[in-house]
Amino acid sequence: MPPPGQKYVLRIALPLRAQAQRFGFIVLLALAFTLMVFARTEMMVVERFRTNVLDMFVPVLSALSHPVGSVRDVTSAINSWTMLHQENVQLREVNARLQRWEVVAHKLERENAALKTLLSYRPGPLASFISARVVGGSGSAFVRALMLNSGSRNGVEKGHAVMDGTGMAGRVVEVGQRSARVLLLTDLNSRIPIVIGTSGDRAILAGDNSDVLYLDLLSPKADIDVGMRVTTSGHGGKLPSGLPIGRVSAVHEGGVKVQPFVDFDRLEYVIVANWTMPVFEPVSASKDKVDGGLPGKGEEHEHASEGSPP
Amino acid sequence: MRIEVEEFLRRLEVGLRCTLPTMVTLSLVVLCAVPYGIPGLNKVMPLLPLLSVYFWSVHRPNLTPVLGHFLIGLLQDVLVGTPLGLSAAMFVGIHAAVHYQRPFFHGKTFLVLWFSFALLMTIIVLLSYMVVATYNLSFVPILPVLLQLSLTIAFYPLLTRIFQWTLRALMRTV
Repeated sequence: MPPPGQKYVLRIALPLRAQAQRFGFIVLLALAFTLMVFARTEMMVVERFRTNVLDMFVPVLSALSHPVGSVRDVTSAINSWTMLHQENVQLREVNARLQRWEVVAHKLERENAALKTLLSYRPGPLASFISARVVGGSGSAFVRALMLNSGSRNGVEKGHAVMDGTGMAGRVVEVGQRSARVLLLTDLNSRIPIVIGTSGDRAILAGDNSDVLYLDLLSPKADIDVGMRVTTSGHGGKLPSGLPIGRVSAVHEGGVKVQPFVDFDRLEYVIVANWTMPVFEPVSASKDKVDGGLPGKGEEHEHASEGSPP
Repeated sequence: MRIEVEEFLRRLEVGLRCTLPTMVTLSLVVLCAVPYGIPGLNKVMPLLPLLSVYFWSVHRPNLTPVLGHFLIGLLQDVLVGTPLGLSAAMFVGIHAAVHYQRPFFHGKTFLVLWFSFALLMTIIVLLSYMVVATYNLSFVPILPVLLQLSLTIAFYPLLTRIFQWTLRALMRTV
């Protein structure tokens, strides 16, 4: 039998505790929704909080992704053993096609050099590349994003293009000291100005969280065919022009679908590319300057797409 | 002196065992953020941390503070890239739902608990879907969301078996 004093305390304390708990749930839920509103309005505090926490956890994720990477290597090794014959046949075909392309490329290179001399062309600034490891995937049904183990101290900045060997994968949207988040092209919120094939038709490439991208704001007069290459247009000044993205995979009434070159499932190492954008200068100061166009790797792709296939 | 040290170690051990539920949820959040390079899994990872929140809220409510769940939810939002506060709200939602239905959960069989989890998850995930659609002011494809939901429900028997084992082996006394 508890003493009478304790009984009274319990009689008051228990309902109080229940009330406090209910109040706690409501406060925390309200806080969560307030944070979402703050995040939506892109407040600096929220972004700084995100990047600081990311910075803290990136070493852990980096350490964890190593063993996962080796497991992945083993499975891909087994896969490649079983597919050896088929892959060999495919590679032979690709090799033959690329050899024909090489001839075209050499020809175009000579032609290009000659034309550049004629125009007294000054090449644009070269891109600097930062290699980074993918240490975090999104795994969420709501976002398509990646985390990299390189950040501002490696030279990564917001807006930089992220690519793998085959094409553009996304762009950097958040940068911490040693971490960065990449919004993939497939994300719902990704919008990239692009140009289609050699015709010069422009559109906005958008993602919808699925594997395929679609074209938005496409001119109704545009003549689009399946198989056309899609590259960045460089409009808006945030990305360079000519980065390969993918090929048109379907054209129908509802819209145009684009199959990206990048296999988003297998991204392990990526390249973060920093292009120094050309700055507009007064005509008198830079009379002989011509817009640098696309330097570096993308240039080859652009030229390749301009040449007629052999 | 020796008795004091032993007492300290015993308390430390009990303390560590008490933090196990929170630690399990935290580790699941981090493990789910690692890229596995398995086609498909990168896109829809089952919501294992939510499963852990449910299990421990049902079985050891005294060891799972709601503030801890809120903070782990925030960490998940940062690591995964979802709107900050979304997972935190989901975690607190599951915790609160279990808290208010405690008399119902008491002494129920595995199947009933599984079914309740499926029902609760469906409600929470659909609510979060609506929040995300409002947040983005656009239509969000629902198929990956439903796939993620079903995967999470399918993982329940396996993961709860591991949790049960942890409970029996390490937390019998707490």
